[in-house]
Amino acid sequence: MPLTKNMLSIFLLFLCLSGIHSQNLILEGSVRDTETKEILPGASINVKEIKLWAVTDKSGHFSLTLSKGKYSLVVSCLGYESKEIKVDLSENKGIVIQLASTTNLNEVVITARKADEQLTRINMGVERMDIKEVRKIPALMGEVDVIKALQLLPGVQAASEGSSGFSVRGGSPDQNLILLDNTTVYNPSHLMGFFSVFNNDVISGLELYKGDLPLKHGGRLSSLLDVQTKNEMSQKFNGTGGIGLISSRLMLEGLLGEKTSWLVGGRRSYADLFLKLSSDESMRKSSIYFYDLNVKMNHSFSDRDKLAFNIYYGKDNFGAEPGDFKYGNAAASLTWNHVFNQNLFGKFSTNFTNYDYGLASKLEGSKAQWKSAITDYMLRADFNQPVNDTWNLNYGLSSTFHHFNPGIVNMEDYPEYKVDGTNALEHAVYMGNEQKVTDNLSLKYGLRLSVFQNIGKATVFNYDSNHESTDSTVHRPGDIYNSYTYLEPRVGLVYRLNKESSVKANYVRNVQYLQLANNSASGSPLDVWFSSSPNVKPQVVDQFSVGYFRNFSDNMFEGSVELYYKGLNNVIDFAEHANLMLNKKLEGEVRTGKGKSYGAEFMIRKNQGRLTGFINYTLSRSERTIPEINNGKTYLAPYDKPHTLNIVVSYELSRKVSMSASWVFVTGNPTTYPTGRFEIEGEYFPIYSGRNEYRKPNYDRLDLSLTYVPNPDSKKWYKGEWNFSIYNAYARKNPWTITYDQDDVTGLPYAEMIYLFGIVPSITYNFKF
Amino acid sequence: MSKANNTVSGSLIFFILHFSFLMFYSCTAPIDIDTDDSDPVIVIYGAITDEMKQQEIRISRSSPYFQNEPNTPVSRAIVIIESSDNKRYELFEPEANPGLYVSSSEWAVVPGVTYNLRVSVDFDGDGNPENYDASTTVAAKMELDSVKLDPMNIMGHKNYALNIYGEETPGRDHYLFKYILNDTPVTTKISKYVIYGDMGINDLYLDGLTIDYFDHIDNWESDSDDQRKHSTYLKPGEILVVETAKIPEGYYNFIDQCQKEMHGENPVFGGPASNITTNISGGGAGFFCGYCISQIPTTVPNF
Repeated sequence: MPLTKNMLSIFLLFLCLSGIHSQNLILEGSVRDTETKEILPGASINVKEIKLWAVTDKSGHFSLTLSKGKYSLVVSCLGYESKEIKVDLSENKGIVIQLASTTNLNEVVITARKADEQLTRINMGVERMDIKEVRKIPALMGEVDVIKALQLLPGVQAASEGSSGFSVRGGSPDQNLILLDNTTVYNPSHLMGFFSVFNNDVISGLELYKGDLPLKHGGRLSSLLDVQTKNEMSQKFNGTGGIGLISSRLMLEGLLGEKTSWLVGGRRSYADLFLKLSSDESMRKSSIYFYDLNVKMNHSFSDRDKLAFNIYYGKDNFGAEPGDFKYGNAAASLTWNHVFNQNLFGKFSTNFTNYDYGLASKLEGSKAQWKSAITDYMLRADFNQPVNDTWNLNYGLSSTFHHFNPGIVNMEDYPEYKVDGTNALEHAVYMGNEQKVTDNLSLKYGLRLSVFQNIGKATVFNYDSNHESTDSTVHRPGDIYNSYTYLEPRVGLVYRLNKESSVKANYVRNVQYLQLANNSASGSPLDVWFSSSPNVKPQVVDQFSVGYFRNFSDNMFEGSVELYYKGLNNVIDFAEHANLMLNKKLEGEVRTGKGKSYGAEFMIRKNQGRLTGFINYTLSRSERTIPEINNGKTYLAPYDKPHTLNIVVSYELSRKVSMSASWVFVTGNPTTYPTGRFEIEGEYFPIYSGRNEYRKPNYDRLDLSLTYVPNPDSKKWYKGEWNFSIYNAYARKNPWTITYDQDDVTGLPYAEMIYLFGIVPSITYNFKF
Repeated sequence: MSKANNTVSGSLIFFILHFSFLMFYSCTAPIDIDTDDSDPVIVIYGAITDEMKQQEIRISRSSPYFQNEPNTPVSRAIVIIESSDNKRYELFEPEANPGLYVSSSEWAVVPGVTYNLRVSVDFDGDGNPENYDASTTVAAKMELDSVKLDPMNIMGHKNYALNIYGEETPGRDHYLFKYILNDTPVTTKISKYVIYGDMGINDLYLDGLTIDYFDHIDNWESDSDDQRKHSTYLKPGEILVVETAKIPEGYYNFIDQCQKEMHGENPVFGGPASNITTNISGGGAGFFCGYCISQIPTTVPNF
């Protein structure tokens, strides 16, 4: 494969070039919290003498290439007292810098990041949220949820009311790559989507890349949601937890010896416990609950070698006398961080993820079981090589084995019914560089080569032009019977106009080889993922974006405008009345065509002071054109929502009391309404308009919360706080769906809407020790 | 829940829906929808069977969805059914029942024969008739050995499971079930039809396959009005006649889509709202099909 060979040649060339500048001295180190020893990503280190700066990465590390000499470093991080330290650099050196927090449990820090980061960071369409910021946002039933918080960011919308699914820049939820500590989470929802799988006690923050994915990641068109658990655990035993109306949670962390730290966090909902009090025996036998568990261990062999082990396991269980339904994710990773030398860092990891669900009918005479799963095994190596103060190389490779098990049904007294499982390999090799061309201009450029391979054993159906299967081809186990290879260039620039503003532009290409066989408006846990194949080409997006970024009042306010255009090829939809469950000929239901999305995102953010928050507005459009759908006419994508306005504010009334509010306005979803009807035997059936020709009513909602800390200066071994929240404070009836029925008297049809929530008050007690 | 099932998944999906509606315990409110009105189309519907009778076809006109008047019949149409065994039946419109077209004589469909429906009528009022066609090929009878009602408690409710016994034939088959309770048909509307595909049971002996559940009469008191509207209640000693038929795949899809689309989009388990398919040519709606009926009675047992 010539393309692969050329890529490897370029890769090796960069490796050789990278050694040229190694005669400079390296000052590297990390920045930590003085008290908790937690690492601080996003802290800035300014070398006063030469006006050179660095920012700590996710692991709290930084690296500077300097000449021999004495330097003054000014280290600062939001929420921490700045510190100036002297360094005498006569040889390569490593240092640990500790900063003292300026706040306590109620700290007003929104995010630990460099004050003017948005002006200097080359990536566009990146949204970061610190878990402290997430916790301030009013939450449904008091369950703090990173995905619900994410849905308040520009260009991001909930798939439907209360859903953990989200759309980014008009894309469908399966176009988002969701990672928990670099491991894919295929279904991030609990309780049919109302809550996400991410326990806020173990999460440190999240980053959302709206199309401009880091080179090391790919495989999705719209976004990468990178959720990180706590980067480095506390150096002493402590814990946090909460007792809420839906669930309770507890997280403990501590040390094992001097070099090993551990963290365990778990949640369980308990609505089902109240069912035990029911007088109805069948209700007493019912269960509706979810639980999840995070386990994390870090071991430091030396300053150069660290090992991290992460596990997530979560399950939802709906059980009753007639049957039960379970679904859940399991994810695990083992990561070795190695410092080869002062300017080469490596990260090697193996990752495992599994999403499965199972249904069981327990009725006598109808006993049956249905199971489905998707499983990934991944190996990856990522390298970071800060060559000098102007070049920062990143390169690496990854390989993933996917196993799809669409469905097996076992019915009592009948043979097993099975939709055959399929396998695939997804490889990627990438290399990129961030280059500081001048003091004002920085570039990033890189290339990702992705290769997708279908592997036997498999039976592949062949289809005619009407999507009817004509015959099939059987492939033996291990045969690579189909391959796709794509180059995914990603380039960008940032030009600093002055101290307070910059402009950015970028272009990215993303390729998606896996997709969900689901075309419902809200999504469901019955996820069946299927891959590209001889019949289904990969989906491809080319995204262009430009933006203007400006900070005000000494970085107290951040403002930005981003414009984007996405052109999609081979975008997938499904035939009308498609049968997507347990269908051996699922590919016959796939319809592909073109799509485009474009829009403008406006954001104003206040990061400092007692009043913090943000206001954003998104103007957007998303369309699809698929020959076999809507008679070939262009139609609105399901998540096209032209106007979105989010306002989120938090105000610290006193050290004991803080308040938050969020208000959301979104244009109604595109929908297909009946414009006519026909009658058969007294029943009316709809004749629909063209696909998505109408819109549901607009959506708006106000949420409020108040946090009360009874004793912020308590010297006791624990600290507690109460959180009171109201979801949908003015009881807006937002339609979740619109249904049609016939009047009992006249027999004529009428419409009514179903709305999920009125006012939902809640109370939660959080504690920390 | 739609009664359209692929055998292996139907009952399992039922439980998901059951739980999801528990989760999505929600409220309803009236809503006014302002839409354009689609142009009227001709609606032709008829199922011809192997019962010796005057076969019927009904023709009407579609209307705006929210129109406050019933749909209107289409009169003065020429309706002819011709068969592949060279028979021709003309249907006429009785004065007392506009829009209904019945054959002048009694006849029954024959398995293996294809029937072609031709309708000619000036539907758009331009003085020239428009022509509409449809055809159907009649499959053999569905032969069951027996059916049985088994009492069972489900979530504290007394129910009967309707189990069927018999050989399922090779090839891809689709089935329609209707019920007659004490000589009164209880599945008179498409929304009540029970349909099954043979996925997972093809060419097997059906040894008590459950195809439906009925309520015991004792549940009437405790059920809500809405439940009563959608349930059939059985009393021990009553006679339930199960009417079975092997139907064309197109008609199976038509019933399935009618049941799914009549209440609008299912946001969790359904796809986008889509028009119901038809085998009527020329832009019409509805369906024309033929099938053979078998009837098997069973007595409702004591609980």
